[in-house]
Amino acid sequence: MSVEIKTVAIEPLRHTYSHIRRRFGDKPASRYQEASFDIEAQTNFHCRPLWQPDKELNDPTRTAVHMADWYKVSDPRQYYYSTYVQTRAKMQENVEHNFDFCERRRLLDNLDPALRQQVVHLLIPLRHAELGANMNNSGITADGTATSVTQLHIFQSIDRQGIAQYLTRLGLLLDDGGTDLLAEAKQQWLKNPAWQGLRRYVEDTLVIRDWFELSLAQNLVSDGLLYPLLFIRFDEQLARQGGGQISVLTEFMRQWFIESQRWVDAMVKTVAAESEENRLLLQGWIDHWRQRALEALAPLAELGPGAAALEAVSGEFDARLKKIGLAGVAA
Amino acid sequence: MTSFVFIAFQDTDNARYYVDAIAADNPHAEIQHQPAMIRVQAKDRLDIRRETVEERIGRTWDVQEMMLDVITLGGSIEEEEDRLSLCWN
Repeated sequence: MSVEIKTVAIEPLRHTYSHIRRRFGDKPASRYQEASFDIEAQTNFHCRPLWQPDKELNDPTRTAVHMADWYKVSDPRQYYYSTYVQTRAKMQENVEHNFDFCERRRLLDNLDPALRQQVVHLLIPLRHAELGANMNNSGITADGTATSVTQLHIFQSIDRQGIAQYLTRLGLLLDDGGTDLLAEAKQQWLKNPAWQGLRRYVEDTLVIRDWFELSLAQNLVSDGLLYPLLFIRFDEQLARQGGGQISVLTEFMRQWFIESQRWVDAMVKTVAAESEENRLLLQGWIDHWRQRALEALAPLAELGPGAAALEAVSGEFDARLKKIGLAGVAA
Repeated sequence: MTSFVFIAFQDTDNARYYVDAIAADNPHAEIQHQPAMIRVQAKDRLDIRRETVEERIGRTWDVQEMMLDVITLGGSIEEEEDRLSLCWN
């Protein structure tokens, strides 16, 4: 007797959810697609929000930007909850390892006092700016439209809280566990004239009503100029002067910045390409905030990597804007 | 005689990106969906390029990662940093 083994292919009746099928066709969808598209409610709201009765929940008119379909904006990194958490967990492991290493080898003990002072004056106060970025992005998540857009911002928001915490840990480590340096850095943020421009920038962005303008002011312009200046140029300066151990503890910020630029650029490019009105609107906002950010960063550049570094950073930022279809320096 | 090279993946989330990338880079490839498996067959040669996969998968990707989803393959392997090719010498 012979046994014949056969396989029977059973075609599934449907490959994915109906809303995903309507958008992408009836084929196996990626987890990112299933978790990100056409999720939030768009119709049949029962009540208007008490805090803004002239608009619906998830109302697309909370920004002056018009998109026929906000789901055109998607994440090139394809982060949804689990991929995002897995990636960050991996990065977090590295950071923990680096902090542990610096602590065990007492690498910060031999840091030159002048460099230590510079770190306290130029890096630690940034934790307050990061908290502003955290609130801005969570505000955008509340006001924004389309899950693929709001999820980008909530991840960004959580990242910023993480960065604020890493800066705090750096401050604690520099002070051997004490909080005096953090208090000193806070006084820098509150009182030092050099920081007042940036502090004002952060506080002014907290009250921008248009969420897309806010995303540009925060995630494109402010981050796009501040990170290269303070986490790249200033870091190179520290390393040249013998403070390379600080780099080990701020590496997360650089990796994160390179990664987050990708979605910011993709989003801005998509929205600017939608219509000429959008492009002009975006350009106007960017020109305005870019000018303000450069003014705010100028005194900080003086304290650290110098005016030439800020100029170089500004030039790189122009090149980045051109790449995404916008003009660099204001016309 | 025609000689075919082939590679078979488990039908996973990752493999769908790979197959998509392979199809883009190798227009002559034939893709066979089988139960729990996707088999890609091509005459003479198949190239799997890192760049194309990275575009689709949205992150940096190591060519060797692919092996986690590979069931079997046929052909001589040429492996480089950013490319894996199957061919018959």
